[in-house]
Amino acid sequence: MSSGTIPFKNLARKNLADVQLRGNLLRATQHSLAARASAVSEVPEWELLRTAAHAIKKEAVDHLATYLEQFEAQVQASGGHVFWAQTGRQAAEHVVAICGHHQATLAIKAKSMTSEEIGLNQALLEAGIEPVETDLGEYIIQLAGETPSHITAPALHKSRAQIGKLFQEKLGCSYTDDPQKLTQIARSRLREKFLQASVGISGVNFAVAETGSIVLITNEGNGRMCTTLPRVHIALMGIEKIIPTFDDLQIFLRLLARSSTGQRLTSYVSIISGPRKTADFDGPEELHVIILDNERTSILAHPHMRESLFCIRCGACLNTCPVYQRVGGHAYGWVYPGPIGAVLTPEMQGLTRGRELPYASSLCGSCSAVCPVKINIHHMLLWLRKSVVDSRRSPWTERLIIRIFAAVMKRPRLYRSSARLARLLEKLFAKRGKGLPVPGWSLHRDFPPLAKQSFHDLWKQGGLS
Amino acid sequence: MTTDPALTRQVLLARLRTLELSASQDSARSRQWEEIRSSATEDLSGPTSLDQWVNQLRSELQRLGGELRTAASLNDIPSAVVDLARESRYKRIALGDDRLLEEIRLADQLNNFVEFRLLDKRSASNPKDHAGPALAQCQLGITGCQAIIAETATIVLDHQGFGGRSLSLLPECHLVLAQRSQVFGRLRDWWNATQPGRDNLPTCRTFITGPSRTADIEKVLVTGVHGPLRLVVILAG
Repeated sequence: MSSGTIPFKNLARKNLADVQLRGNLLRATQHSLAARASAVSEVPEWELLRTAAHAIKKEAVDHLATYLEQFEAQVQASGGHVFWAQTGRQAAEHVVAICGHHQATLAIKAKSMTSEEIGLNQALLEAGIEPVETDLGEYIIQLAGETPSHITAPALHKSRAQIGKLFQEKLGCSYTDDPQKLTQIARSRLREKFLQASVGISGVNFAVAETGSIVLITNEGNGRMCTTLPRVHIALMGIEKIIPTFDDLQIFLRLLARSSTGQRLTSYVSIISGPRKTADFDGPEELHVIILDNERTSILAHPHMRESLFCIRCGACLNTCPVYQRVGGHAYGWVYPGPIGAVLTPEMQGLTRGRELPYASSLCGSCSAVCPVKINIHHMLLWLRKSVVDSRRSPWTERLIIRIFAAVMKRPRLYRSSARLARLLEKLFAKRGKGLPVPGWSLHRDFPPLAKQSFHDLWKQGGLS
Repeated sequence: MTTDPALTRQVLLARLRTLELSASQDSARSRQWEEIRSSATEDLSGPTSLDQWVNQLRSELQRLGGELRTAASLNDIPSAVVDLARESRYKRIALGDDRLLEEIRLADQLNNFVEFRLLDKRSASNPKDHAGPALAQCQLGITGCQAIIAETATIVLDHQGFGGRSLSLLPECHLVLAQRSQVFGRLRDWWNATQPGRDNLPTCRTFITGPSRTADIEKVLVTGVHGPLRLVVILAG
């Protein structure tokens, strides 16, 4: 993820100037928002479901050790293997080891943000194993050598013409920009891979502690392919994917698709409980579940940030965010974009890398309003801004200005004379009816004009009746 | 650097245990569940009779790009299957292992037609030889189902016996045979009636809602990505 070191400001500026990208983004996000609004309006108990989902996630996240141990015992009882990884590297090495054990040279993958997070494809390539992304959007960006720009629609930043040219160049087929035909090309190319691969890798949408089931939700059927045809299935999950009971799953099924794509239910919800049993006709002989920490426990340790582990990765906060709609996912510099990414990246990658992200928000609160598990995203962004300031990572100019301001506010005489000075400067330099121009800052914003007379003056004149 | 997996597990669990809140917090979740359960009984909007739900199923399935056909009785299912296979020129047909298919003796009925080549547990000496490639060659895969949820046109399918998970996935058309008594209104109606988490779950259970689809290219809806291009339900009774 090479973009990680480039500041948000620079990436955002570049993307804002890209007319094609902005058109692609606007079309896609508006489409998803309209579909979501219509799907949500059909459910009178929507708010109740959100509150319940929040309570379920809270119960799970507050008792992760209990539920993860229960889950592990259930998976093992059904014949599956469980591996705990503290770091992304440990998880990736374990995947490579399993592939090596089965002499696999090809691994087919269903869409998994967690695998992006740990750089799994790179690790597989280095070990001589070809990872093939099978979600159409992921397949497109893998061909393009890019990273996903959206949690659920990874190639949302590309137009059909761009995809047509990409297929022509990389797959050697004749040019078409018909989505139907492009999809058929991908279908036939990937069918071969599905039938060849001995290892399938997937993420996990929900892990049910009570039954040891892993739940996978896909529209294309690639999730089913990856977990049906290969001899080995490796499922990668963050510790926060756990839900306590099988009944809890119902609530999330009613929320997820409507929030994400505006569908009433996603095409395929697969509930997998263990590897193939003797009586089963097909399915993987081996099931490996990898439970990954990768800095999630640091989030857990922070009482104000704990809620960000409730996220079910629906992508609704991305679609609704006025900043995401304009700058796109790649501007955020790491795998998780949008408002939830602006929370997760500083938490998981540290404030040095994610310092600017809490400011990539208008704090309008639209993200929190659409979140199906009621995460208070914009409040967390405020908390993160506080951490940035507390850790002295804010720009030195800003720190200086705030210090001067604090010093002035504490001294009444100085305050009054500064106010007089400011009025004088405004008269000299500001345009009519506008506030003082502040270098840099005033390019996109207006400083509010000062009142003609200060409160003090009015008070002295007795004009406050 | 290699670390001992058992040690990693221990360290991680120990850390998680120190970060656990007291067990008494669970009351909020139970309270929410109670509210959800009571709200379900109050909600009287939407279809009420089975006929209305079947209509809902028909229109929702159609909206998703699927198709509902009806048969007057169980005995009329085989001819409805033959009609579908003939009009679509499906020759290679895979039959799943299901009570309903046995009951209507579908394999025998289809065997009366020389044009069809059947793949089922009887036509295979060792049924497990037919995994993957053989099923991928079939144009039509026929299964029963556990239930159909009308509101969302969702088929609940446990993959057991011959054909397993592949039979409903690899052929270009997936045909589901069901009886009206298997139709439920909403997801919660099915959930409440069957208590799905209580019994032993099958290795794989899938909720199927329409043919496979994507909107990954400019949000344009395309049906038939990796799974079946077509989904047809024949409902009897």
